[in-house]
Amino acid sequence: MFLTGLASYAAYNPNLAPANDTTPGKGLLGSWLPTWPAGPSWLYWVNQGVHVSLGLVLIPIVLAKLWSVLPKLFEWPPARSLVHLADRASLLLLVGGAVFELVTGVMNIQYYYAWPFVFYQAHYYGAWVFIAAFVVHVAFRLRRMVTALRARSLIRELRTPLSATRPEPPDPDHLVSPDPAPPTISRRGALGMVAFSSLALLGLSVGQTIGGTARSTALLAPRGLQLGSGPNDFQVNKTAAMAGIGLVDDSWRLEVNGAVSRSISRAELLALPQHTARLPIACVEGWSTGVQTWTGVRLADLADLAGAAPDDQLFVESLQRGEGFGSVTLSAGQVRAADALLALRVNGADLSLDHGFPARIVVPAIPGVHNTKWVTRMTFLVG
Amino acid sequence: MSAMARRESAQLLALLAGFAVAGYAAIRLLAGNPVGIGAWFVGSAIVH
Repeated sequence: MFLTGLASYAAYNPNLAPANDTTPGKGLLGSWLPTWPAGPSWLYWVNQGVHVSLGLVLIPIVLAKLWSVLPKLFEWPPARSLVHLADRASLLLLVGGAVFELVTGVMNIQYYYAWPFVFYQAHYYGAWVFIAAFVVHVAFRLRRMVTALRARSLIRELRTPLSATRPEPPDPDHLVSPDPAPPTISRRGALGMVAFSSLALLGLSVGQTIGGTARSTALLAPRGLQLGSGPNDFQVNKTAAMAGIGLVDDSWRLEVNGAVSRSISRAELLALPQHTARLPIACVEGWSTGVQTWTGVRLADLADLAGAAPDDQLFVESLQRGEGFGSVTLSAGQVRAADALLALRVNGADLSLDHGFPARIVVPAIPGVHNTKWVTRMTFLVG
Repeated sequence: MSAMARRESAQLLALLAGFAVAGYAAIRLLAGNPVGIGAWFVGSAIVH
């Protein structure tokens, strides 16, 4: 979870330009992250799918784990020594961090922004609080965990019904009740309940990551309710109406700035060499459009047209109004990627207004919100 | 130093290192909205 989360943050290329950075105060917690590559095209798609799906799968497992150690919460005396006190304090960070991350993550994929803070920052820094406590927690319990797991045979447990279920012998950590009530569920029943819950969560959400026809199976995912029509019939996140975009007519011109500045109409863009790329758009919340066929002008060709240097970055601005992701800075590697496009058409038809007409950015392996729609200005800058 | 004491010292050092990293992150976390974040974080630990 932590590694896919870190990769997810790195994918925004936060160190390339301040406008890309959702957590500008990160300091040592990310200033060392490398520039995100422009491929393979499935990189961000798979990363986000794993991050979101794994997070959902972990919910029943974390709840079961917390239930199993519940007696420790009421431990008495609360502190036997300095080490014991510090250990219990770190549990507050561990449990608080884990639950905080799961709750904020689930709320975010449900579009439910009810926090008094910014999601990106809270989820990112919260993850660091959690992982610091988690690493120390596991480091000093790994041997005990392995011993405990080896003490019981999984196969034998799966064959043991409720009638033959016996309490464990007392353990040195006092997790076993000294006076246990008769069991109401077998160990295989408890394991099965957790496994079934996790698989159910996975099965009812993974369709949003796969996209296409599988999308309708993702009953727990709210996205995918607004689709276009015909060849544009795939997921829209922010509609033109939401972004404050009215009708864009023939007076639209793309402003391209580099060593030279140009103003280009859509007809002129269509007259330039066209390139077709089959790419998915994948979003931070784990949903994806699946692979679509995009056609337009290579960003590299536009860079040459503007007299840009090979290692220039690209600053893209949208007509979009309002907060968040109306612009993006792309790395030189992303600008020069073979499949990086200013897309004009999709699946053989003009882009619909909701998909970014008259022109949108489509670059392999970048976060969905960086595939800027309704592009109005492109500026090539020295990196 | 006995093996037990060595283990305890190592654990205390590791815990302190963990607190240092968590504290560094927590300063940034709390910068956004100290009361709001604090309430949500402690709330998460208690509510479970």
